[in-house]
Amino acid sequence: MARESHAKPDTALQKDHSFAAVDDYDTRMYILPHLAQKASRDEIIAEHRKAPRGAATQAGEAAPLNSLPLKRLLDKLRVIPQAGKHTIVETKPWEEYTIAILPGRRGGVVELTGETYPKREDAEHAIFLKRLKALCEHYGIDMEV
Amino acid sequence: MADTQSCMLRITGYSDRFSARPGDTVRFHVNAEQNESFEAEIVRLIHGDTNPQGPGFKEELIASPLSGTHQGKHQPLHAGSYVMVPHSKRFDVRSFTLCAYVYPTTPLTDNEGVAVGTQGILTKWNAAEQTGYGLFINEAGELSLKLGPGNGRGEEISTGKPLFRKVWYKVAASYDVASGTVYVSQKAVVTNTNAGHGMSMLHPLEDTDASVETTLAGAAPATNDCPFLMAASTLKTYSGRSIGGAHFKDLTEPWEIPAHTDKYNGKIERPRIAERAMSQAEIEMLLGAAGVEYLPNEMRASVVGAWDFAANIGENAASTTIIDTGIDGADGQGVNMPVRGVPGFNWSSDYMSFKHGPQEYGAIHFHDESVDDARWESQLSWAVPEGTRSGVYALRMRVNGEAIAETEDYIPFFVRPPAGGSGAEIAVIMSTFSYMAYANDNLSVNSVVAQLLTGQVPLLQPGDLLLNKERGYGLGTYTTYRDGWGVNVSSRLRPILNMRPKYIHVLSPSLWQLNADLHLVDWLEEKGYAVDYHCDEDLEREGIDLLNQYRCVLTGHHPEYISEHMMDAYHDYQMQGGRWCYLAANGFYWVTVPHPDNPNIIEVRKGDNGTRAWTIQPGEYCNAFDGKHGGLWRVRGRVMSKLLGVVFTSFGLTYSSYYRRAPDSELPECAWIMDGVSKDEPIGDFGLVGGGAAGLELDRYDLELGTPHRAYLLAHSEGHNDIYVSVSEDSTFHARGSFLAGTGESNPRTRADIVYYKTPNDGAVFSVGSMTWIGSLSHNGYDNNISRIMQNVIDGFVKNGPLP
Repeated sequence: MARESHAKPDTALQKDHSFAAVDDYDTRMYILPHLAQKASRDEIIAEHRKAPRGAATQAGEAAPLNSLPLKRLLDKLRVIPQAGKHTIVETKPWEEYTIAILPGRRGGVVELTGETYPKREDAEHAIFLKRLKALCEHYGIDMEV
Repeated sequence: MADTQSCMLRITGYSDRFSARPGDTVRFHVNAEQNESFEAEIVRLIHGDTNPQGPGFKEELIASPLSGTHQGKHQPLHAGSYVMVPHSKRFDVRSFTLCAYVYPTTPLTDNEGVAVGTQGILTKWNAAEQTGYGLFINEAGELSLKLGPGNGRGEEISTGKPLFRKVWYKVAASYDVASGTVYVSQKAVVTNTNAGHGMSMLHPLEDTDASVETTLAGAAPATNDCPFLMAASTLKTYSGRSIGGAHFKDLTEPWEIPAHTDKYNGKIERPRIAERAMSQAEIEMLLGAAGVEYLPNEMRASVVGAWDFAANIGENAASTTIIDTGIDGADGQGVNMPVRGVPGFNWSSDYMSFKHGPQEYGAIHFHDESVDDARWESQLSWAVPEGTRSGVYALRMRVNGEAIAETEDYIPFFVRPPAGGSGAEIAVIMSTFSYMAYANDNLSVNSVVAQLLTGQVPLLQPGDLLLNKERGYGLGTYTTYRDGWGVNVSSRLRPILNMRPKYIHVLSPSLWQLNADLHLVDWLEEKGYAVDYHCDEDLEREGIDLLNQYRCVLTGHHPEYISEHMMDAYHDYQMQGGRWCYLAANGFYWVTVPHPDNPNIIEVRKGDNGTRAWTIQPGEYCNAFDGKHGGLWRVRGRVMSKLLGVVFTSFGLTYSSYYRRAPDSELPECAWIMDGVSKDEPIGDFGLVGGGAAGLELDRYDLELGTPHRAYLLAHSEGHNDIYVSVSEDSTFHARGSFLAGTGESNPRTRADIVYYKTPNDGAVFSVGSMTWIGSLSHNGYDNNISRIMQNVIDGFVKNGPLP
């Protein structure tokens, strides 16, 4: 346990203020405009549902790529800190995929939530929706409207 | 809600060897988490991929005397490196001085923000009984002296100031029994270079420098039978486990080691203990030289131990023996492979290797998660019967006979042919150094970037849950220790839970390493080829003679980690007419060094160039195991394309793509390879790894990087998505639009090239440049164009006479 006298200097620098500030700016400028309105938000969700984990390239066709709004959103959601992040546990091989929560550290327990899906893709999409909901809530966007 | 523990693996283990011939005995070390009984069988592994879209899991039961039920036993793993000096009366001091240089890397918390707790630096301390003495970092991150006079009384005197991470300190503590005087001191020693990436402008120094002097009557340490430890303290003096032989070759008899605790992360240099309280001036003298030869005789006689960590550094820094320069010669042993030959408190950056400036590399770095050997009891063994066919085998264990994921584990090993060979014309070299390098990566839990590399959420299986609970069982070279230093050593004398059949790997949409290589094993079996299997360590030991027994040699899908001897053997095989199939991408990439006295342990350093999981710290480029420059073979003039024709160009650990034929494939020298494949059909637009034969990691030809000038281009892949990125070793300036930093849809270097070339004496090399090639072999009942090309090449390569 750190003694109070040993606390780090109370500075913005020690708290990594700049990173958080620029991350917030980027989110507001480039991601939120596509999430604020239900129509564009639903379009992004529908695109993700089609291929939550991506897909192989078919001969003679363009590689399956995410639209720019989905790509920016996915990249943002994938790098949220590990502690408390949702993950998938294969509870029955090829039959049951359970949403779990990461401890964010070695030695901790990966907590199973009991929320299960028959396909890995379904679990992947469910996690996407959970992360999206948390992001929208953080920025005061009501997913219902 | 599901029980949070219900899905965790309950049984695991390891074998004492990877590689055995008929007549050899393989011993198994099994841990049953809940002391449950288990059924054991020997099986031959054929196909490990359980995907319902493929041929399914295939194993062959082998009758053996060990078949049946066995009582399991929980066997914990005592991770964390330390130096042990056995107990002797000389350490039973009443007055004393302890001093050293230290460079703590987790003085308070680790890189994940978790409190590390008390850490022992120099101790003869029984933590359970609170007896003895020791210099520690306490829970507040301060230097502290512990005194245990007995009867459960434990005294602790600390400096009251925090030690800073990645700063060298001169630390000292003393106790004088006559006066009761206690002295504890920490003083930063900061130069422009010695901290590596740590601060050189430490101001104000008073934030961390501190000395305290006080009196404490009747606190003379009670004697105990603990060993004198560096970087830990003793929980139990006798653990029932011992060290000796192999990398402990200097020991003439085994030493029983303690169960240790209070594990320290960071460096220590010039540790000393004296049997009286010395003045500050004397402490300066004690720490002023590597040895004690310049000390006045009276002082020297008072020294109980003065270890010089650079004393036996030479061509390598691999010895576990820690030299005491004092008159008693109280040499120690480094347990769990502490990292030797690292930059010390006086590192000037004038030297980049301990070989060139050992006097500046007198430190040892300790990590509380490192493992050289689990040292579990062995209860099962199998004498490989004469006549056993070469192949991939495993001990299959099922708790209470139940075949579900959390009650079943396999311990894979490899049966070689009898000495002299089986008569087979084909050999597969299993990439066991790479399996070890990737061991227990734990990336699903620890790595933020993994989800970007793969474009998906990781999938955890029961073994992953056990692995995280056990802090990685010693981890592997894709992970950093909790102080941020990369894991540079990997041992296979502990469970490697991602080297298993049925395993789905975090770095792939499905398989990776051993389980992926079973795709090749299955195809060779299905096609009826007679094949001998060998391991990297066999090639390391036997060299070109091993390869020359065969007309045709194959690799698995990712032989990324390779030693210098192996590189030489593959080169010589090509020169002497060997015919070789490189069915992989990103092979022969990292310099890999087996320990000189124990081939079960390898070392890898990830330099500041290359597509890598971590970056080496300043001054730490050279391998402890051979003293040579570590990192990429490319920076040592041995870029992979000189031996493979292709070089690592891009990776995307996601869905795959397919190949198109290139004009050279129609030349008379090459057309036989494409026999049965039409000119315009896509090649490999199917498969069990990402749905295509070109994927995961990709290689291209590059004439600037040593691709042979008469090499032919048979095919190239196209259509890789934008998860695929270029490799960092090709990048100079990252610029939008520059393909040096582009992704799949914008960089023409994002492709796998199939390259074929001839070598002297009718030899040849066939390279596919993709990690998913062998995952496509079984498609459509093994009848497909990847399977066809593969068969054409192998049949052509084993045929007598020159190639077309």
